Amino acid sequence: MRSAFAGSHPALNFLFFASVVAFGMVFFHPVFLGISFAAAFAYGVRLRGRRMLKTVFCLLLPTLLFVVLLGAAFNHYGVTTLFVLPNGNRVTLESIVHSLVTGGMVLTVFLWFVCYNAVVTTDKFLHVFGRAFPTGALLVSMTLRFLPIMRRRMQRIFEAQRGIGRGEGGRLRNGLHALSILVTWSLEGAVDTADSMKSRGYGIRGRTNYTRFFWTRRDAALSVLVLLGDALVIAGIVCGQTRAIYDPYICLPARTAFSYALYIGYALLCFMPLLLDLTEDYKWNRSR
Amino acid sequence: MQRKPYLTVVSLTLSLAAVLVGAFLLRDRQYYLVSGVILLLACLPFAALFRKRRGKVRELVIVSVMAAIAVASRAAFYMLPTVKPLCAIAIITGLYLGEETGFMVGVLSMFLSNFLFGQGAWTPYQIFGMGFAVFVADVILRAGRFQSRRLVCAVVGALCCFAIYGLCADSCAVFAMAPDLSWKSVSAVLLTGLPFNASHAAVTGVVLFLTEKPIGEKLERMCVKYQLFQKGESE
Repeated sequence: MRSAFAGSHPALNFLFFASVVAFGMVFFHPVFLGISFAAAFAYGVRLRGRRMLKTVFCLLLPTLLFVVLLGAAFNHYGVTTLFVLPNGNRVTLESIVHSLVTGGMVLTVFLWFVCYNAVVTTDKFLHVFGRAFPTGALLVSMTLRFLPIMRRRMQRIFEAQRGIGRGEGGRLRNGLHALSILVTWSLEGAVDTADSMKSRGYGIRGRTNYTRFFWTRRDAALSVLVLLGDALVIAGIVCGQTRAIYDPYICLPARTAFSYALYIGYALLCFMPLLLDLTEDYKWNRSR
Repeated sequence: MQRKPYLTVVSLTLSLAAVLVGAFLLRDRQYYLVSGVILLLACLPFAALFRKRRGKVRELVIVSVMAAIAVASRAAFYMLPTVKPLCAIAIITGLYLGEETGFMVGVLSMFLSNFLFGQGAWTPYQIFGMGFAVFVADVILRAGRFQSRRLVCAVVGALCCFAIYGLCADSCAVFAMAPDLSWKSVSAVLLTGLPFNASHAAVTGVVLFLTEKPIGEKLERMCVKYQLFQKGESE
């Protein structure tokens, strides 16, 4: 699915995901958790369609159930006893809710990373970090380029081995043998590659990188919005609005006008990519 | 390669700051976020070591080739899906090219295989776990001059892979899944990862035992032939 947010500048994508993942890992408060979960889920469905639904219902919800069962079985704090296990341990409402919240947190972060993997591709990652860590970025992009080469070489090695009648039997040995051949082949090639890089001017000062990303006014405006959202939520954290206690009894901070403003701000922050996508869709459909 | 003590100090200070911020500012129990940040900071001194090596193009390309081989090595055992020789190859590389190089190959290959299989909150744990396991194994093996004594290499490598990588990778699951950090619930989560870690370590040991000699000889030959990764020179 084409996404307007995925088409915007990588730095904005990074800023957004850094914010929502960090907040997603920190909040135990059910309202904030729910907002973040809903946003990650909705955006994931928008990005990946039916595959997202499959991931959530076949993989993530069973895991959540497992976590809740684990929590209820191992923790017996809390004042509200639901029932008593045969061995005398209590199963309490508080421990179940707490496990649900912890598991929901993991689930939310996981969903955000599903969106992250769809939006931030390798070239975007290298664009953001390439300038700060040029050697690291070079290593990453070079290794990414070597991966398909290695795979092709491996296939040719196997074919050649089969051709001289070494393909059958002792599979582990065959694999290790192929690996050893691959190392010989590639190490010699590596020195050639390096010499070629050097003779073409690698490491000379004043060279620039090609980029196909441009920082637009919309990116700037959205980044400011994300930063404002971050500031609001951090203010909420400092004021204790995001605290939640599950032991010995469930205790949430009192709701004031500020908390509702905080909920709305956090929701706007989390739903930002989806809102942007939907606005762009609307504009596109109307202009057609 | 010269070690840079001040960078270790910087990363330790930043880690401490992360712990304090987590403890006082966020107040709740934020092991998940704080530990991830610390692990990323722990890679800092190593990353800086490599920044210095820009001029040595040959060494950079060899590191990248070894990392690519480590990731692609899974394809060599396409019939045996449980065999993942990534850790073993990183250890062999470090054994002959220096433990910092081993760390770098481990980190890089783990990071890239996460690009293929999906990044997540587990990325810093796996990256650091792999790099650190390789680093420790190589420090032990190089200090004892155990190169080409493949049984020792296999045992040490398997133990490091099991204890260090297993613990680091599973601590992500612990912080994510265990409702609190009591001994009981932590061990429950760790036990579920035990069979996987044991098989991973066993594979690492077997691959190390069988390939330490052939691959090591080739790496050593490269070093001698092109005067690469020599000790005692800075820059």
